[in-house]
Amino acid sequence: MGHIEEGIVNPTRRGEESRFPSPAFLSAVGLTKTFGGVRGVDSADVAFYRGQIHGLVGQNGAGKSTLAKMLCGALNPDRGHIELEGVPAVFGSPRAALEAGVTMVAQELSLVPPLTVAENLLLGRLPSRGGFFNPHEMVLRARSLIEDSGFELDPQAVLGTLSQSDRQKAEILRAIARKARLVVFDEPRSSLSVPEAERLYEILKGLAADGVAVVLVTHFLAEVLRVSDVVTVMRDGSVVMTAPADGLTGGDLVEQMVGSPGVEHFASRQDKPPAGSTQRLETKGLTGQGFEDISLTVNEKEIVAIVGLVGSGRTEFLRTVYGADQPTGGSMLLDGAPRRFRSPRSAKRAGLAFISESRQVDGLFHALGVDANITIAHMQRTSRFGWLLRGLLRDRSADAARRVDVQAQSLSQPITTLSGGNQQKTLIARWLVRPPRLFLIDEPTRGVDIVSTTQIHNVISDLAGEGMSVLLVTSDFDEALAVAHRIYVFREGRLVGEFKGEEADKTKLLATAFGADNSKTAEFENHALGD
Amino acid sequence: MHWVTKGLSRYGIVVAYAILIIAVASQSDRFLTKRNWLNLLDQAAPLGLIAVGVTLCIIAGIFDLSTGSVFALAAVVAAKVAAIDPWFGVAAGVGVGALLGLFNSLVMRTTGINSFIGTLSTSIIFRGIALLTTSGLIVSVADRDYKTLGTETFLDAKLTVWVFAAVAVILGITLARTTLGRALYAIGGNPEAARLVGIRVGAVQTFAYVASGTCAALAGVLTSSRTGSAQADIGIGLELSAITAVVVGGTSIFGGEGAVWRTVVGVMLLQTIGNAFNLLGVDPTYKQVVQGVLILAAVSIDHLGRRRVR
Repeated sequence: MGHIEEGIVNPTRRGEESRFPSPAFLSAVGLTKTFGGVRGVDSADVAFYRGQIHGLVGQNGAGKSTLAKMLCGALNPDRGHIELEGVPAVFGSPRAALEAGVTMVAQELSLVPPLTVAENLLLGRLPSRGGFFNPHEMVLRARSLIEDSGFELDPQAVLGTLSQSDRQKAEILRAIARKARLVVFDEPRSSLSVPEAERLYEILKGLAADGVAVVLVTHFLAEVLRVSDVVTVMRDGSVVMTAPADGLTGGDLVEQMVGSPGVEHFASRQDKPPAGSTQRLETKGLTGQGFEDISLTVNEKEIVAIVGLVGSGRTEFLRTVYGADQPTGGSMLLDGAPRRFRSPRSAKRAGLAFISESRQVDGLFHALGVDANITIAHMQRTSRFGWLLRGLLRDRSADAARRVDVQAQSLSQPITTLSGGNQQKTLIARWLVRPPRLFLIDEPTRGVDIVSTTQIHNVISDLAGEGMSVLLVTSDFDEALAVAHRIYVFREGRLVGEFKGEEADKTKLLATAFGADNSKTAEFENHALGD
Repeated sequence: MHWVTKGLSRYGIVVAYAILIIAVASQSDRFLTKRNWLNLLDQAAPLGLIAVGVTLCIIAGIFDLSTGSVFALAAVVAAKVAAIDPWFGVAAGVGVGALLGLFNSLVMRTTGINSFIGTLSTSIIFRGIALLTTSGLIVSVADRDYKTLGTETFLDAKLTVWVFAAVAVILGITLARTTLGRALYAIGGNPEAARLVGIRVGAVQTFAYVASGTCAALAGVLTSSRTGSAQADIGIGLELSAITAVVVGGTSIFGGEGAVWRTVVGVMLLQTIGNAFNLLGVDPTYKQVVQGVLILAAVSIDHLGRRRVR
């Protein structure tokens, strides 16, 4: 594998072209990728130059990661192509891209946990002498690599024993060790502390100064503006702006991410029944894995949405309220009485219901029929003394299915034969066999067609009107605006904003979620950032 | 899916068994006789008992590899206690099986280790205890009453066969018609989803372990009752034969899908193949090859069907 290394070494490293790059090193030309009918990236044109740091920003699901993966050969585009120094190129695999000098530091880390840091850094290019592996040389090389970066990391530590942020450092160092000419950093900052992030940015600048094209995909708008030379904004799979970072503000970026106002994805939000004033749920400083010090309330008849970026701790919080995970601090009141649920079962008995963010992973029972999937959570309502009664089974599942309009030829058909929208409606129907007091829903309409989405929103609204409280988590800011009476914004595991439905708009929500500098919600902002 | 392909994938095992019966019957006059079938059922009963218990485990996503050892230990305990009173011996043997199942469940729940490796370990422990209790010797029961269960007949069939039938019906109904059965399917199909809808995953799994242990013990006691003796090294490999029968019947090795009737067909299919080799006078060394091919075919069909769905 030695010859590959030769190919990667940049002949013009102390580059004459670093200041005024003329031809783009790598260009995306009309790159398009569709996932099962859902657009991921739509005819994206972007050019990346050596010696530049190029920021890539956008909302959840705007297509940043998909674009990045296509650049690095991890995904093949449906249409469009890549040009490497002006010549059309096809990277069939990440390996082929790496041989052309293009690599990625991924969000999902791709290291080998049982190996040491040094082995991971030099994997594929382990030093050898006379055909024999040379561990001494390996450690030396790894150590100098680490020292050059300014990170603190033990080259002989087993990777699997390290913290998340140390693993992230190793991942970044590996890209550097590969001597790539274009490196995509996908959310490299996510598990690093502030000083570590600063060191990371120094490294990125160093790489750029050496003539490397650096692509930085991140949610941290202020930092991307500070570090980058050029920023590209994506929205709904399209590239909507590429501009020099100088002179741009966080507000400008948010505006581009939101797009033209007035385009409502969802039905109007006037027809919501009013929320009640009696408190149903209150969390006091609830703290757990991935979130910290969350104090919020949900009233009866109220629909409350939690929005935030992926990784902001929303899902973890919701699971903890339901007893699926245990808190490490804080407390919780249900209808005024302190409660703590040791298991989902005890939460269910107290009148809570929960739908997880991924119906395929931990929602549906694929081997069971639609009716069994609907009645599984409340089998005591379809049985006597543990004996399932077919009549009750049929009636209860039919009632619940009708309530949310599950479209099925027969309720005994396998759940796998239903569309995504109908599967999601089945999950809602499951909890209507015995309506809960507090309904916790993570991503109520992810991967659901527009008709079913509207139906689900109407059902949620009707349920709240009948007295149920609903706490939902969504990545779709439009959805929160369409259905919720109140909206909480999470960022990095903390509650950073609260909006009444009528006073919220997408720009405010996004600005708060991203922590953009010139946010109009500065009051809450500053309070939250003050500590 | 067209109804023919759908029917074939669901009842393929029944069709295969019917074809086997027709084929063997056309070659041997002795095959379709009452005597041969009563004999076949009697031989199938011990493995069948174990396999229906194991079916519950497999459906709930559990491997129970300790059934062969439970079979032996229960037989040994029953034979020893039968020296006091034969019926008390039977009860003690079966009771020990239930306790061993409970022990398995406690080990898996407290340590959180995978059931495959966990029951593999406990099976070695159980057989070791059986060896210790007998000092490696054969335990013979003098009291003739002890042989009642294994040798007496009712309506021409051995009592053993009736016990097997009764257990299969009870467990079959439990799986198909009770909330407990539904919970077993749910846990095997998607354990995290089952936990999130409030099913008591641990308790339901305990039931599966205890049912499997009890069935294996019953099989051991019946076998020892047939000969009026027991020793520690009986039933070696039965745990794998049982799982084989379950999978050949069409119950998914991945859990969440299957039925007791499938296992009964699977057991009978395997026994019938052995019977056919005897009747047709084919070299019995081919028997293993045929059985191996059959298992491979059953698992492949399961795997391919699964890939189509997902």
